[in-house]
Amino acid sequence: MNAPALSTRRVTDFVWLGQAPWRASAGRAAPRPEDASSLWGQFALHERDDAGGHVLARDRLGVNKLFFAVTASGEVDSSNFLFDLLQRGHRLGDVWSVPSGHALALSPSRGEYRLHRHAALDFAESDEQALVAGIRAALATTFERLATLLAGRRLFVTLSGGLDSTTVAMLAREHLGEFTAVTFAMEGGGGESDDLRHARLAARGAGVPLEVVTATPDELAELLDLVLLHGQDWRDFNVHCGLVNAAIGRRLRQRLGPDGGSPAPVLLTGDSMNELMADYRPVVYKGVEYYGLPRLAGAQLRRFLVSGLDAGDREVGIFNAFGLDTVQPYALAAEAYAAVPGERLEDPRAKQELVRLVMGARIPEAIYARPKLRAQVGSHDVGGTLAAIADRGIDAAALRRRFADLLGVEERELGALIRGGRYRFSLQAPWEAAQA
Amino acid sequence: MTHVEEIARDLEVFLRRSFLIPDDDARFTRQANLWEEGYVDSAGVVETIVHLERRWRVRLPDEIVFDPRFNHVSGIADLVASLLLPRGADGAA
Repeated sequence: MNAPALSTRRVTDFVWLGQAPWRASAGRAAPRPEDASSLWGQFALHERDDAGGHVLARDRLGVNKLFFAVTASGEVDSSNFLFDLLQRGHRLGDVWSVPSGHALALSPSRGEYRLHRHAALDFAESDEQALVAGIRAALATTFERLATLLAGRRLFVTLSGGLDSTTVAMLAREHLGEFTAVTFAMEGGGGESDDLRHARLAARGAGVPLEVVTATPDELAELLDLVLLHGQDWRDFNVHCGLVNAAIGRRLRQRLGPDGGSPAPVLLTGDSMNELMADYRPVVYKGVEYYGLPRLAGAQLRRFLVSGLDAGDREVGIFNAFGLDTVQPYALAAEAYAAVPGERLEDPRAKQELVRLVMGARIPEAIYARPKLRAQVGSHDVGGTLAAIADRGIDAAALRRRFADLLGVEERELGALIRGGRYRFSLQAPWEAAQA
Repeated sequence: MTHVEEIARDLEVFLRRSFLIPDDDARFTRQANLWEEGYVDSAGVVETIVHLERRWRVRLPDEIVFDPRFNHVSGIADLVASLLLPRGADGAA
């Protein structure tokens, strides 16, 4: 690998079973893959038993990442980070992911390899009344469970001033208590941006302090290698969003100091909502289109955007690099948003109308009324990030080259790493695939 | 014409039209690696899947994109044909 020395720590799992938090317990029989269907949360688990059996399981949307490799002697090595496994000497071609919503039973000594889908989103459409009731109930359950799971943690909420993050902030204030809101602004923009004005408004509405993190284009560019490695992706929409998160993460780490991280502070974000509402558009900058999307609409686009959450680690992975845990409440309540009718997704005001029905007057009117600027990766400031990177000549091809270089692999190998928005996985045991 | 040949021919036309592959591109064969050769990108994979699903009224499983046969037109045609009912493309759009 050509990567700078980077340290990782295990990504925190937030798991709920029945009426209480669930924690892995060592020394017992490994659970069956089917057992994972009882788990709720954001997780990438690797459970072992004493007989050489392993169960690896990943949450429904794949928010937490999970990679593994099997050594020649039959040991199973896993990590939340692809580059961890490469640094431990595994070849890229020997590293596999556990796909989102799946659990894998693996026992090289017994020749067992069984991939089981334990959770899937059912895009069964609801009428408006049932839809709104379902979303309210799912969000309430999510935040009630988070109140237990995050008890005693220092909390932050990333706040762009848009509807998604403002909703998270309002619900966090109601259910979780005090936190600090954090927003990002490019330096040198000449006056306060529209994003920042609305973030201030949302923070005031929630009654919480707002920390404004700024960065220059040079400072963002310095974070690029870290974003590529911890964000586990080279595609521009994830890299540009990841740069904003890296700037926030670095600032919070500086502010918290080395002793301010035990237990790790937690950031709540509004990510995943744009996938669930298929609310993305390509962006044209200086005549070049960025953030290309499949030419699909409505329900078809949503299906692939949501399954595409499998690949890329622009939030959990990047904040993890700064000793911060991340929770994405919308991903935890995804089943309720999956009931939005596909036709409705094609209405450009669908999200505003839905949020108004769900949240009502809890969201400041100015945020509902705000013109839609660039619905891209959850932050209106990504445009500034795009400019900061694109103006340095770092385009999509350069990001891909740099990613391959950092991992020490051939660029052509990347085509087999992420395809159709998913990290590569196999239905067949790696040792059988190698013989095929 | 076999189903496989019909699927391959349709897919070739779709790829040329959607991803602007010139008729005189000698590298673009039915065995060309669509991903490594840069004919289809990450978003294009999704468009290709949707085209195949609509055209042949099949649901492609998630894992199909990592099947080695999914790298080229011939292999994709084989995979799609294997998912078709014996009636094949009857009723396809």
